[in-house]
Amino acid sequence: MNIFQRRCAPWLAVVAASALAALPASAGEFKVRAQLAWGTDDMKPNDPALRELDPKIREKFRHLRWKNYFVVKSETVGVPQKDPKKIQLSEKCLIDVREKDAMVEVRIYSAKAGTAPSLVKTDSIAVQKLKDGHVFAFAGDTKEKWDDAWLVIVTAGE
Amino acid sequence: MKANFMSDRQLLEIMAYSDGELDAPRRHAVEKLIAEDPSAAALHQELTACANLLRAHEPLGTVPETREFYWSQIQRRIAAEEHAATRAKAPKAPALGWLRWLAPAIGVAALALVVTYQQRPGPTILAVGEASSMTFTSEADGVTISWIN
Amino acid sequence: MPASLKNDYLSAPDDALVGWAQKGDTEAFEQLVFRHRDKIYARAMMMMRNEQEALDLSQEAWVKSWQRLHQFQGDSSFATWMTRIVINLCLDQIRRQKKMRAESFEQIEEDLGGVERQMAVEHVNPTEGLEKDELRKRIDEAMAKLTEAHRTVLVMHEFQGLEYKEIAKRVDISIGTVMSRLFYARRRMASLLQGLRRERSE
Repeated sequence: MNIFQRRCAPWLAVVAASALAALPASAGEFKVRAQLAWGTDDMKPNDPALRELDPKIREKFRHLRWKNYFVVKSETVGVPQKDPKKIQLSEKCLIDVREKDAMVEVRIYSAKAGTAPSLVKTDSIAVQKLKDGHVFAFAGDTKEKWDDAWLVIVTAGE
Repeated sequence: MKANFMSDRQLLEIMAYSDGELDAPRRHAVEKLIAEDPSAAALHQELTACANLLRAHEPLGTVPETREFYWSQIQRRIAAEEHAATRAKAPKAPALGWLRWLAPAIGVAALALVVTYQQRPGPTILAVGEASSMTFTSEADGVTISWIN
Repeated sequence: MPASLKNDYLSAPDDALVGWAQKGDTEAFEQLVFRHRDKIYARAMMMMRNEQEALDLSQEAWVKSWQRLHQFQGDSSFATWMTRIVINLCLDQIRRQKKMRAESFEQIEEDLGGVERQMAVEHVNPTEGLEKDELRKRIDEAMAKLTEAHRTVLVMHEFQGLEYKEIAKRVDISIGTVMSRLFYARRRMASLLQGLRRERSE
């Protein structure tokens, strides 16, 4: 078990956002797909809004230890080169994306009712890597349930 | 006696077991571990005894002021806040008075939102400001994961 | 309330006092303050480890309780409801202080695999010839030696009786972090209590 697996193993909560590489919808604009996902060893809850994560992406998370990944929300948007595009993935999870120097910059915020979203983390991934099928994700423990995880998965848009 | 051969997960699950926080399959796994491993049993005994000891002997305290003085201070603070609230309300312009007619609809909408979100097992992002994280990349698998602590 | 009923304040149960106070009876509320002030103060003191802050926050808790008394539905006891208010005020205060000191709750070293994993298991025996008051004093001394973050989780779990999930929400940390802090805090308390016993027996 590598360091990452060891670190992640005890905690279960996943938010996945995937921003997918850019198809030039209009000149210079890429499309990204962001998904909020939930990693758990539990069976799928009886909620028709939840669907299982794409098996191709699921396979890329084989380093993580959870048995099941359920997509809570998925959205595909164009990635602007100037002002970041906001994507509200849940009541408490907001990300924004923009293209900068051939990279897609992804920022994740924690949102609470009645307060301004607070920036949690910024990261970048090369546009070309996304185009080549690379998956980028923010992830962490959930607060709702011991041993679950959240993931925000970013992949190239379709 | 050392407990250092157990995994991190096992250590925490022994505690979660003593706190009644495990589901049935994990509870059975910990019971088996405790039955078979003396150091796990000793750790379970220590954690349980410590928790019971604390719960039965919560440190006490006595307000270091007389009853009258303590109460008079509370009264003064209540009066000051009520006074401030009254002053804050007084000068408000009545221009948005029509909004009160929307109150029932807003209430229903808010309730619907709450119900929607409560039903959805959506995860919560940690609000940590400048979060520490650890990045894992596998070029072979074509994946990068930024784990936020 | 008629003067003839005034003596009722002393014997009335909390529920009755709360009901009267909800109708604006300040004397009933004063009686509630009198009954529970030491417990509320003690809880604040345990969290803050500072007499002046504990005094201030306990009074603030009573002010808040008066303002929100109409929200009290009797789902828990009045004392539990009050301790919840004072704990929340303490958490807010701790967060403000952390910001001022440019520290973060998250910066505490708490990796499992650290020192607490190596600590020898202690056999904590609460009945070993100690008076209850002496034991409480020793526990208080030991708790003072914990870090604020570890003490906070311990107080919320052992004394407030909150589940991991509830603590995680209130403190704004993950359940995993709650567990690792609680694990460390308990192991450290077991060790400290053994140490104090040894010191006093020498």
